[in-house]
Amino acid sequence: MNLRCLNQPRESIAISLSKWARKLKIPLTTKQTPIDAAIIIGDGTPDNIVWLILTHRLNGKCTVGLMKPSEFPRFASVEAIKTLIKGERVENVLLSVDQEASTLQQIWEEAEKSLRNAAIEFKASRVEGRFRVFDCIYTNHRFKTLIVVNGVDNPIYKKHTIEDHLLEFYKETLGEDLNTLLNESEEDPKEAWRRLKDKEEQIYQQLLTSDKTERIFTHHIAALRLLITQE
Amino acid sequence: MRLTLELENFRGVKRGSLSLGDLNILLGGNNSGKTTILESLFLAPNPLRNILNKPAITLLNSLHSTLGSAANISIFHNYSGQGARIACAVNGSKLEIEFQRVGNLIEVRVIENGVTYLVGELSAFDDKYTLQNPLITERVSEGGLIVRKSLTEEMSAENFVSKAIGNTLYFHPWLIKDIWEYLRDRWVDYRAQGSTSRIAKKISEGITSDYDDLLLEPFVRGQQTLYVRSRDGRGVRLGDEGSGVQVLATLMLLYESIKPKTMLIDDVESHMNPSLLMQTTQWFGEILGSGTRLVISTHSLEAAKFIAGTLEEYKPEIILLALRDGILNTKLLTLEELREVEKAGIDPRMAEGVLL
Repeated sequence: MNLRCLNQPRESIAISLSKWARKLKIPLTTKQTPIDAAIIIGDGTPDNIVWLILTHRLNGKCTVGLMKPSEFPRFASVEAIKTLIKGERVENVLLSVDQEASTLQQIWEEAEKSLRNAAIEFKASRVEGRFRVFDCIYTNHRFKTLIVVNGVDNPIYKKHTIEDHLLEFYKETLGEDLNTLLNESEEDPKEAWRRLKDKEEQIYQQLLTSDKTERIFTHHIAALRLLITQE
Repeated sequence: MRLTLELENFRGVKRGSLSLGDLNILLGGNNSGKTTILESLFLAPNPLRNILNKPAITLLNSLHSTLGSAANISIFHNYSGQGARIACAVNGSKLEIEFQRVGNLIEVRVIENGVTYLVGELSAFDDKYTLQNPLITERVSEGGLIVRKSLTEEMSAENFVSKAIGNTLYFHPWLIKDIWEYLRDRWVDYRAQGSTSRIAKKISEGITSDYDDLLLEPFVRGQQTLYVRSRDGRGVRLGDEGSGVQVLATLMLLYESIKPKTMLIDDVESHMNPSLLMQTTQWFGEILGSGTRLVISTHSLEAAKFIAGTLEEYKPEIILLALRDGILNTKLLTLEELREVEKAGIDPRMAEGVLL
């Protein structure tokens, strides 16, 4: 699976993606080629790096576009889905959002409200804790919206973001203790991850090859597999 | 290895100096000294060396010849003064280029680590030149007289390149025809080395089409042209594929041919869409990895930020330039500082009014 960044090169998300693709020796598609599906991320980095690594781990020749809408935080980015769908090429869109301090119930209610407000007809066809698939219709276009909510169900995190997964991976792979790190970071996973800046390359490298990746990013991987199938 | 550059009375710069790292991005308004810096570094190894089938100085004159007005006097700031000087220091070695006006002539000397070489003379009021073959070394005797000595025949002005700085290569989109003529003469080498096929595949990564080779073949009436060949065997003139593709393919071929120690690129992003800019940036990473210093100028903040951010490992230096009364003012910015300037609501390309 090849990733192509759809943001402008001047934006931080494009710059950091390009930098890390070089460091991790992952080919980032620069070819002006049609995309088969799209991933919309609510947050910039490290979300973009995680998706770069996960897409690279999955084989296949399809090209997936990655974008972070500048105007639409969290579920407001549902609006960006409409722009993609109007192109009549993209049939599946994956939306990756942080749980933050909300409950999962609140998150799904917010997701459905956003789809309704965007005048998108939807019906949930797969419901799991942090992963749902919605069969959608928007102005006669049929498509799937896959939503992955980032976060790990562990009370040690004050709020839940994609950094939860990275920290869990760090703990399991490198055998590190998270309690001290999180205490120093006031239980904020983003701050804890920032404190691991010196180790982030090592962690990303491990993420590329470790068999623990699939378990810690279960929903992300499941969503990616579904993203490129025509089911 | 850092390189310091000093200029005196050279083209747009009356006086100025600059320090360069491995990856340098020159930012600034029009007439801020960007091109003068690139040109000075291009001339530094020897202004009369043969490169692209012409002396380096003649190539530059052709770029500046508004309405065919090429003349070597344009080396001097405001076309006046008796001399101009380019000085470089790198890794303990020193190099100076002196242009000395003597009547209607301009003598050109390369002074490397204390040895002075007279490499030739330029005609001040047109673009003619005389090469000094073999080279002459000069020294001042105890009595104050200049003593000249001819070197061996192998040491000619055409092939003399300063050891201190090594060969440098300047790319400007307007030089593309000169470059193609040069490439045509050496085509057999590129075919033999597999460069044409490698480059065709690389540029395909930044565009829609898929090419597998570059070919030099007849177009009409026996005139040769440079084709890109698609996988189904059809050939399209490189010139028909858009300016950005032409620029990148030409740059890559030229680099493989000359393998300069320093690559100088003017207006790097012109004609490139983001995909091709990304592809070009990846190629920059490759040439930096092989030890080539890169100095590029741009008006595009997008290009500056993307190149600097992607190639962070080469400690990119973004250098803001401004010329005031011919004096070169410079300000070194990191990518982070560039972002701070933007956050403050200032376009970094116009920040010279605030920062310099």
